Amino acid sequence: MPTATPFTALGAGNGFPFCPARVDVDTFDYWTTFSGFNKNSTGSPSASEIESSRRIAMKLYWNTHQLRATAEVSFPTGQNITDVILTAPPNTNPLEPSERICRNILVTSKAGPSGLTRLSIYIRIGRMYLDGEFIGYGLGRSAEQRPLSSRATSGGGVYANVFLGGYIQYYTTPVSGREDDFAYVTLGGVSFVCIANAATSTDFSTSTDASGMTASCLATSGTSAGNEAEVEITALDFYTYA
Amino acid sequence: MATQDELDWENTVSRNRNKENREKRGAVKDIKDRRKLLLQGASGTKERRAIKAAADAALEQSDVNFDEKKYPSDNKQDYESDVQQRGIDQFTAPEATPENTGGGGGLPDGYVETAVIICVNGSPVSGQFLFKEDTP
Repeated sequence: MPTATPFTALGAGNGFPFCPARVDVDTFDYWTTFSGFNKNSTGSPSASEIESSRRIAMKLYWNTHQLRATAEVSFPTGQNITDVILTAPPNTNPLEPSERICRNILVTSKAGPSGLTRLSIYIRIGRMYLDGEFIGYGLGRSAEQRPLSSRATSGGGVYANVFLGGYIQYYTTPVSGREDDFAYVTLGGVSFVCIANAATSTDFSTSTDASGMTASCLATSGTSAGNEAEVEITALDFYTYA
Repeated sequence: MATQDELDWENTVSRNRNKENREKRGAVKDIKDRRKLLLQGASGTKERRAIKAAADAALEQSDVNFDEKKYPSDNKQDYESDVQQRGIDQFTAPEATPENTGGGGGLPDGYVETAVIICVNGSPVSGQFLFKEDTP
C-alpha cells in the first residue's frame, strides 16, 4: 500500500471536488450503493448506511491506488497483464490523492500489446435515488460500461470478462453464445454489482462466477482448440496516510 | 544671514498661509457637518448617494486635500527605493508590531493557519487559509 501525504482539500463541501451525478435506479435489475444497500434490501436505508456510503465514496475517489486483476490468454502469446495503477493519462505516474482536486472522474486502463487483454478503472461517483428518494452514493456507471473490469479475448471467438459497476442496465437479458453470471460483491470494503461472462459454444468449456469475480473460456474442440481466455479481479488497493 | 525685513516678510507669508489653511479646514468642516446632517435626514440609498456626491464635489471645489487616508507621496516609487525601505504600510512591518503583547501574534483571535489544496483554473494549488472552527 502506498503512503500519501495528508492534505486538506477545499472542494464542493460534500466530500468531493464536484457534485456527483444523480442516478435513478428504479428500472435496473441490479443496483447497490457503496455501503451495500441494494435491490434486495427492504425499506429505506438508515442515515448511517447513507453516511457510510458517502465515506466509502470518498475513500474510493480520493484514495484508490490500483485494481488488482489478471487478464490472460493462451493465444496469441505475450498478452497477459496484471494489475492497473490509477494514473492521469498520458502521465504514467500514480495519481496522488491531492492531485484529484480538479477532477470529477478517474480513468485509467492498461492493455496488452494487441489490446486483446485489458484492465480498466473508471471511477465516477453517483448519487442513487429510488422512488425519488436519496438512498446513498454508488458507482455512477453501469457494469456493462466496464468501469472496473478485466477482459481477455483469444482467437476463434474465445473471450471472458469480469465487470464491476454500480448497477446493471441490460445484460440481464440472455444473449445467445454468451453466458452471464451476476452477483453483489464487496471489493476493498466497497460494494458493487458484478457481471462475469464468457463465450459459449459446443466447442467451448465456459465458467463464469460473478461472486468470485472470475470467468474463463477454453476451446476444447474445433479449429480454435486450445485457445483460452481467463480473467479475475482480486482486490482494490488504497493509499494510506503517514 | 537674512535681514530683519526678510524675516518679517517670511513671518507675514507664514501667517497668511496658516490663516488660509485654517479657513480651508473650516470650509471642509462645514461641508462635512452639512453632509452628516443631510445624511441623517436622508430617506433612501439614492438620496444618500446624491448627498455624498454633492459633498464630494464641494470638497473638491474647496481645493483642499480632504482625503485623510491616502498619502500617495509617501509611497516610495522612485528608482532608488527598494523592498527594504518602508512605505506607508510601515505600521504593519514586523519590527513595528509589538511582541509580548499577549495578543497571540499576528493571527486574529481563535484562528489558525490551515494548509489547503484548491482547484484554480484546472490545476491544484496549495496555500494557507485562516480558519476558525465554529463553537458547538
